[in-house]
Amino acid sequence: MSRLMRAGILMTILAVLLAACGPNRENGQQADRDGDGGASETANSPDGELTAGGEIFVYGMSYENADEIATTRVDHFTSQYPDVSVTFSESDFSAETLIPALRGSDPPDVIRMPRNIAGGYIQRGIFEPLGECLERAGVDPSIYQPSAMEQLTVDGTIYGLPQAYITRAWLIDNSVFEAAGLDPAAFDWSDWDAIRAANQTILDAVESVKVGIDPKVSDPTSADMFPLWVHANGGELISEDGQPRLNAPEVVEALEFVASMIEPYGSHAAFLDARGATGDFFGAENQFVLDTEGAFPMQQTYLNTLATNSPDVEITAAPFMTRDGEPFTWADGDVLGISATSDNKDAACAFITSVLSTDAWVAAAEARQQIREEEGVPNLGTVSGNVEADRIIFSEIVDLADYPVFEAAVQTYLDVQDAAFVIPRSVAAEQVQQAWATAVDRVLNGNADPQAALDQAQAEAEAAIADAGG
Amino acid sequence: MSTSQHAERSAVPGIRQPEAVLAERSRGGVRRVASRAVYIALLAGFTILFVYPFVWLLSASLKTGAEVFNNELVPDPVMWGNYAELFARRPVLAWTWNSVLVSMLAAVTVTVTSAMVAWAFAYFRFPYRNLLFGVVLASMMLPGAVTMIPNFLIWDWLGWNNTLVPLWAGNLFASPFYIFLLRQFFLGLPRELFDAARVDGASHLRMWWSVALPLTKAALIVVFVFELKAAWTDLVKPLIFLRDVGTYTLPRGLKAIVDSSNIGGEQHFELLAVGGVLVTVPMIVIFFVAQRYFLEGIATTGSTGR
Amino acid sequence: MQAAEPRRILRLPVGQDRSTLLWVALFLSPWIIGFVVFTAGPMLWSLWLSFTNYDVLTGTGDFIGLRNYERMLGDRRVGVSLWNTAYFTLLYVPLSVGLGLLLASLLNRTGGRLAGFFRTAFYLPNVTPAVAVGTLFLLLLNNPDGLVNQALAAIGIPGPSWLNDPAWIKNGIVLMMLWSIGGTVVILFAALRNVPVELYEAARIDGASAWRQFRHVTLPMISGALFFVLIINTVASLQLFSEVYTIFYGQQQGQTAGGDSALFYVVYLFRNAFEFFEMGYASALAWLLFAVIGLITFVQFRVSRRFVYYEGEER
Repeated sequence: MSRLMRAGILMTILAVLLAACGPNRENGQQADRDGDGGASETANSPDGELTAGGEIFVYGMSYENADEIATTRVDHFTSQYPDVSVTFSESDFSAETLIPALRGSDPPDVIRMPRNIAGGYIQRGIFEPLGECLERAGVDPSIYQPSAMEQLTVDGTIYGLPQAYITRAWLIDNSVFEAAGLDPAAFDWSDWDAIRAANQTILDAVESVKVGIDPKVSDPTSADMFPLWVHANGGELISEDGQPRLNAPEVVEALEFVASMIEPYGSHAAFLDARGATGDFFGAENQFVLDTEGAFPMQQTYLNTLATNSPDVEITAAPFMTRDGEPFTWADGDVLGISATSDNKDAACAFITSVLSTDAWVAAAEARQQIREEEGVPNLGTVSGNVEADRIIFSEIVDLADYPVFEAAVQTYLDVQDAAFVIPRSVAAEQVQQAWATAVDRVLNGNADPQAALDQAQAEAEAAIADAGG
Repeated sequence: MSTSQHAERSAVPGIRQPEAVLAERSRGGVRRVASRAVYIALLAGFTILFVYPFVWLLSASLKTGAEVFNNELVPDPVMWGNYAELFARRPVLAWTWNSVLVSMLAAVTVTVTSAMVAWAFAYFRFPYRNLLFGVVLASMMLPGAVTMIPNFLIWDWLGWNNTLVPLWAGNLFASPFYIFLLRQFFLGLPRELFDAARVDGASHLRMWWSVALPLTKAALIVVFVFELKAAWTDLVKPLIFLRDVGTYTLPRGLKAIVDSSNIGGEQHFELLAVGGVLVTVPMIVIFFVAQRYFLEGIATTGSTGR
Repeated sequence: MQAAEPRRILRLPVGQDRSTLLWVALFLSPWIIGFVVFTAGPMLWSLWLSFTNYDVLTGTGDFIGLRNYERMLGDRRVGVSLWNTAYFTLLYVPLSVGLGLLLASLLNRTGGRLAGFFRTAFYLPNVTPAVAVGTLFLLLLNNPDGLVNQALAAIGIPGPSWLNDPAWIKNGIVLMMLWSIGGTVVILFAALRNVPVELYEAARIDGASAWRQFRHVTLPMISGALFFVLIINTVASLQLFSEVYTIFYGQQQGQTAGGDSALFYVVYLFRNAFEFFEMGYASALAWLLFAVIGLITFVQFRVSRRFVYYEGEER
């Protein structure tokens, strides 16, 4: 065992040096957990028989720099389980920090990551099955969005619970559309020829406009909304059984179409530069205020940004449509799961079931309502992925009577959320996503034609799945 | 600056005057002066290219988010608050401390151990010496990417993942390039000193520590500042070993700021600039303090590279 | 320089007695341990890994023979990243050496305290951390608001989209890396200053033109230093990582477009190892890089024999 010997020599030397140099380990974030318990209710005991104490470490979540939606729910947990001391990585999930996370001296008890990529990690055994946890905590998994649960369930075993349920719809700048002679409320989003024509009309007719209708497929890592376009065309990128379908005719046609939406700008780079000049997307001087962009599909969470920065903006939200005229959306969000490395699985279970509970979400929504009221801007609510909580939040807390524009927009998103599809679980989710995103990127940049690029992507995706043992 | 020139090691003293000196000596002085003016103008132009980005960055770090790109030299208003904001949002103090700790440990350890090994190669005669030194030279050419993964797995296996230890402890084992460099300096020491010391009965350890090291102080400082810079600026090791934001070094922290500057609803280019200033300024200060050693070291590198 | 200088320290004729050998072993021990544990051992380990499908997350892996190497042949991204790296190297290395020589010559002709001042200024970007360089150029190369394109616009040239246009991304990276050319300048400047003045005087008496002086005196006398910067700039180019990763990868990825145009070889290797957790495949990629660097260095050394003049050497 020469490795052991070498390591032994090494460790001896290092130990001597370390002793001389003083401690520099354990510099981790210690969130101050003496909080006030935030939520209004008294420390109610859990429904089930779960008791928990000790310490847990949550990877992929922040507390110190987090918003009230996160902190209120964590405070809810600490008031419910005062014996558990919890610390956070204070950072988002990122693949390159996951290894040191899992293999470091203090491995995580709870892991948060995007649901779309969770499949490969479930396959690798990173997540603990939740059956016993849910039973002991007295949690009925059917209160969570069924489509989200699908992404987290393998052969009937649940590996995580959803946090947030983010859906997409068109956001339309009313004055831009009207200036181009289009009706923002009545535009037919199922007619792709009409969309293409409207893009051109807006670019030609409206002086202030930099971008007409953005198909939102330019992110080279995910191709943003490309799954929406594929779905609208009757295709799917990953089939129900986790196999890639990247070069199917529906996908090729969708890619041809989105590429044609970029053509009027001359090149993809020119389009991106134009889009970069539409204004401060996350600020008060945004594209809807400046009337520099016609329409684009966007996550519901962006409405919150708009409502805070520019509450008087005139926009219309419209559902994404299949070419057959059916409204639909695409949903994703995060997962919270118990890490297989956890040595305090009871407390980890307590944490995920508590922060994702109906009470926690409602308390968080109330906290946000109070803050928004003080700021004098509308509160659009948060879609939690917990159906029970969402019903209470949107029927009892969120009141947009004074803000008809946002009221209508939020309603559009809510109306379509049950017609959501999710990206089916895949053992090589990241690589498959990278494969289609690269294909889209190559086509937009004029480096390949859609069929060839997607054939290539399909081959890459199949290889990745084979390597991952799927 | 003239000190740095005098300090430059030169093989044959007395014949290293630059062409300019020659030029002034020769006829046609007016033309020479004129062309020298052109050179200086050209150099001044390049200096602006090299230095202005620093000024731009500093200026951008003091602007409001909307004005970052306005290319005004003097920010109006001057947003000192940007710095306070970054310190409030991120554990910048902890990052700075981690960076200082890692760089100091890395520089001290590699200087001492490389000097040990270099001394052995310069001073002693022992079996397989040339072969071993050949191995040292050969390992200088090894690309870091080849050993990156196993080195990661070793530190991981030792349980030092997510700590600062792997960022500097590898330096306990000397570094081929510095061994090479220091050996050259040791070889230049007069032998009589060591003969005399040996007659006095000095041990090998004392000979190295009390006689050889003090005589090569300048070279040791060169190694020290080189490694200080290398450790301070490193991104790869912090990237693969560190998980918790509180354990980050300044460069890793800046990468995290870059990563999040466009995500999650914020586009704070001015805070990016603040981060850039914070990670750069300490190195610039050290550079000006130890300028002579940096420039001398890099020049020596070139001439010993043969 | 050492070649021209008589060696002054002589190794003591020890080695027979055991206690001195023990001292040698003690002095050498840091390097020997380090070499075994952190160089030779990892090389063998890495070679072994390249024949396995080791997954660092699960800690499992099987011997799969040459499959990783076969996979590299069919991996489009290996080709793309090799091409990107080669493009960058072929553009950057000649530019850095050429521009470095130009600046060093200007410094040398100027001389005096001023040259010292300029040299310091040129070297400043070299002490700037790679992440800061990346961050700075993320801002400077912005189109159309960044300083570079604003400056181009001021002289009537519409600047390209450095961060988004696949045709320009690598050129932008070359520009960024040229900013840190100071090290090359300092090395070449030092070499130029060591050219004996007498050689120029002799050449002048023979009536040699400035070009002929440069060609037949300067170039041969600094050929050693030129070759040195050629090698180190090439090896560094082939391993470019931090600056590019800062701008285009990590979670930052997705904020700039251009897909694989900034996928440099070591970036791809890093992503395989630490983002996709495929350390077996990444190890195979590392060995290809090792082979490529070894081959290029070997060729450069062979070619240099014909051109590099060392002091004291007969020609």
